[in-house]
Amino acid sequence: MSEILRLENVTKTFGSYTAIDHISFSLKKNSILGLLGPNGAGKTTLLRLITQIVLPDSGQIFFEGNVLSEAHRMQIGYLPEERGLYRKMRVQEQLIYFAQLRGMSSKEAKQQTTDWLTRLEITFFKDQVLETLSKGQQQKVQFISAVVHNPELLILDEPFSGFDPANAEVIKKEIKALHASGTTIIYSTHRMDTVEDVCTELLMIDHAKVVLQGEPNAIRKQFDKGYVRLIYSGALPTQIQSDIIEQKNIDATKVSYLLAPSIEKKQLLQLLINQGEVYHFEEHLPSMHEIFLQHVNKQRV
Amino acid sequence: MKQIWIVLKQEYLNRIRKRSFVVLTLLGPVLSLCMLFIPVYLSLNTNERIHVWLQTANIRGGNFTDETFVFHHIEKIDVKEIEQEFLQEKSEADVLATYSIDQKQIVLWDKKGLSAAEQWKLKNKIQDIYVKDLVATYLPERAVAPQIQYIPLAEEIPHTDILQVAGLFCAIIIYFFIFYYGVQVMKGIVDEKVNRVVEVILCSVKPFHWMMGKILGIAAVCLTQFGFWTMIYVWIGSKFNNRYGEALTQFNDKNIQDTLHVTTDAWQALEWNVYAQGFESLPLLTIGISFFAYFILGYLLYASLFAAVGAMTDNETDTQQFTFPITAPLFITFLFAGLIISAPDSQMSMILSYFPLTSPVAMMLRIPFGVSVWEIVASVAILLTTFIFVAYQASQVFKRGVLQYGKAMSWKDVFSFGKK
Repeated sequence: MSEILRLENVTKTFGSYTAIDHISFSLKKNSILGLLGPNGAGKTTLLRLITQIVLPDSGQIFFEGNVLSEAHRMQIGYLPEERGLYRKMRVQEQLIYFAQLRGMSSKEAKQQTTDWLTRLEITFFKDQVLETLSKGQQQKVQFISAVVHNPELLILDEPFSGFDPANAEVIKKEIKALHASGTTIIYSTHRMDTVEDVCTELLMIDHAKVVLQGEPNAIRKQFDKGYVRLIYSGALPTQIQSDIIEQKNIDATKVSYLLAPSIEKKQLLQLLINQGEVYHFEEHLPSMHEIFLQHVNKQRV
Repeated sequence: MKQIWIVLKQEYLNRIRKRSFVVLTLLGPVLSLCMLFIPVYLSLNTNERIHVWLQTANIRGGNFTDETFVFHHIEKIDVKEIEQEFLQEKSEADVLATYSIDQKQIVLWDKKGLSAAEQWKLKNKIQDIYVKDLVATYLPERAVAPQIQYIPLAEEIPHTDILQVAGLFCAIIIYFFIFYYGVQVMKGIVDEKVNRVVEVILCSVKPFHWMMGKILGIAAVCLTQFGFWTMIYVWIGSKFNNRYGEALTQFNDKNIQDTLHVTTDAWQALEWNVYAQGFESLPLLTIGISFFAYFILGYLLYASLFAAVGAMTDNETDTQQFTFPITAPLFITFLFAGLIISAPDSQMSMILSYFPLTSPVAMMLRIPFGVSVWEIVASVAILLTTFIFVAYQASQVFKRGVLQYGKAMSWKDVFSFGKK
C-alpha cells in the first residue's frame, strides 16, 4: 500500500521549549493511526504541524510523496481538541462556510452538509443557532465540519471527548465507515479501548519524541512477558504459588489468576488439570492501557 | 484570494444581519443630523436680540421691536456725534441707522457683523419704518423709499464657518468609522479565539488571508453603512432642495433680494442661500476623492493594528491595555483640531497631515481651506506605504499570537515576533 504521509526529522520549538524533537514516521494509505502519549507530550503540536497551522522549524513533511504545501490543506480534515464553532450562527450555514473554505462550491457544500446532517440524525437542527443545541449535538456538528469536504487524511484530536457512550459509538461507527471508504485517519486519544478496537497503527510520543510505533498486536507482542490468564477451581499446585501476579475470586470455587509461569506452559496446563478444574487458560498479551501506564510510570521513575 | 473572498462574504453577511448593525444604520443619520442641526437651531433661536439705534430726530418714534431686533430712538441731530457715541466700546448698540432726508439715504453701520439674512431682514424693516414715518410726517408724495447704504465695521471672513464645518464633519465621520469598525475587527478576532473556532479556520486558511478577509469584510459593512447614510443625506438634501430650491435661485438675483418682502420662507431661504453659496465654494471634488482615500486607507491601517492586538490577547478586557496606545494618535489629532482649523498651514498642521496615523483626520480638516493636490497625493502615498508595511508586520504578529491561549502576549513578545 502506498504511503500518504511521511515526517522526516521534524522539530518544532516555542521559544526555549521543544514541543516536537526530531520526529520521523510514515503512514500508509487507508490506515488508522492512534497517537498516544501523556498530557504535554506534543501530540497536539504534531497534529497542528500536519494540518499546517504551525510550521516546523526543521525537518520535512511529505504528503503523498510531495512536500506538504498549501494545496494539501483541502485534502486534510481536522477536528481539534479545543472544539470551536460559531455559537450565534446557524448549523448548516456554518458547515457550508467551512466546506467552502476547504475548496467546495456552494452547491456541493450544501449537498454534502445535508447528507452528513441526515447521517448523524441532526437534520432537524440545521436552521437553528448552534448555541441552542445540546453539547452532544454540537460535537456532531463539529465532527461534520472536519469530514464534510471528503478529506483523504482525517485528523481527529480526542474525537470522543464530550460524547456520551451512545454518541461515542455513533462516531466510532462513522470513523470505521470512513476508513472502509478509503480515508486515512490519525487520531489522538486517551481511550485505550478504542485504540485496540479501531487502530491499525500506533505511535506513542513522550517528551516530544517517538517512544513506540508499530501495529497494535506487534507492540503487544513486543511487551509480552509470557503471562498466563487462568480461571481455576481447586488448590493451586505448590510449585506455582510463587508465580502469581494477581488473583481475584470469581465465585465460591472459581478464582481468576494472572501467572508468570516458571515452567513450560504445556507442563503448567498438565499440572493444573491433574490437581483441579481449568475453566479458562490463555496467553496474556499486555493491553495498550498497561503498556501506556508502564511506559509513563517508567518515565516518571 | 478565493478564500479571502469567502471569509469576506461570510463576515459581511454575519454582520449586516445583526440587530446592532440595523439599529446603528437607521439611527446614525438621525443622530448625526441632530448633532449638526441642534446647534444651528439653538443659535437661530437665541434670545440675544440685535440692538439697533434709530436716528429719529426727523421722524416720529414708535415701537418696532420684534423677536430679532430691539430699536432704540436716538433723538439727536448731529450725525457725527451719534456715530462717535455708537463707536464707543461701552455702547450696547450693534447697528446704527442714520437718515438724511435731503439725500433720501439711510446709512446702516454694522458693528456686530450681521449674517446676510439678518442684514436683509433689517434693511426691509428699516425701509418700512422710515416710509411709514415719512408718510405720517410729511405729504405722501414725499414718502419715497430711501436708498440704504450698508457699512460693515466688523471684519468679514467669507464662509470660514462652512469650511470649518465641512472639515470637521469629514474628520468626525472618518474618526468614527476607523474607531468603531477597527474595534469590531479586534473584537471579532478575540471572539473567535474565545470560541476556539480559530483552529478550525486556520487549518483551511492562511492566517494572512483570514485576517485580510475579516478586515475587508468589515470594510464592506462599513461602506454599506456609509452608503446608506449618504443616500439618506442625499434624500434629505433633495427634499430640502424641493422646498427651498426655487427660492434659493431667486435669491441669487440682487434685485429680488432687495425688493422681496420679508416672509418666513424667504428669510429662511436667504439664510440657507448663504450656506449654499459657501458649500458651492468648497473644493467638493477634492474633498470627495480625498475623503474616500483617507477613509479606506485610514481604516485599513488601523484595522491591521487592531487585528494584531486582537491576535495578541484572548479576552476583551485585555484588549483595553493595547487599544489606547493605538488610538492615541487619532485622539490627539482631535485635541489639536481647533488649532488645525484656525491655522491650516501652520507647521504643526502640516506635520499632522503627513504623519500616517494622524493624516486621515488632520488632512480632512485642512482640505476645505485649500490644499494642493500634490500635498494630498504625497500624504496618501505615505499612508498607503505605511499600511502595506503595517499589514505585513501585523500578519506576522497575528500568525504567532492567534493560537496562543491562556496567556496574553507582552510587548516584548510582540516585538520579538515582529523580528522573526
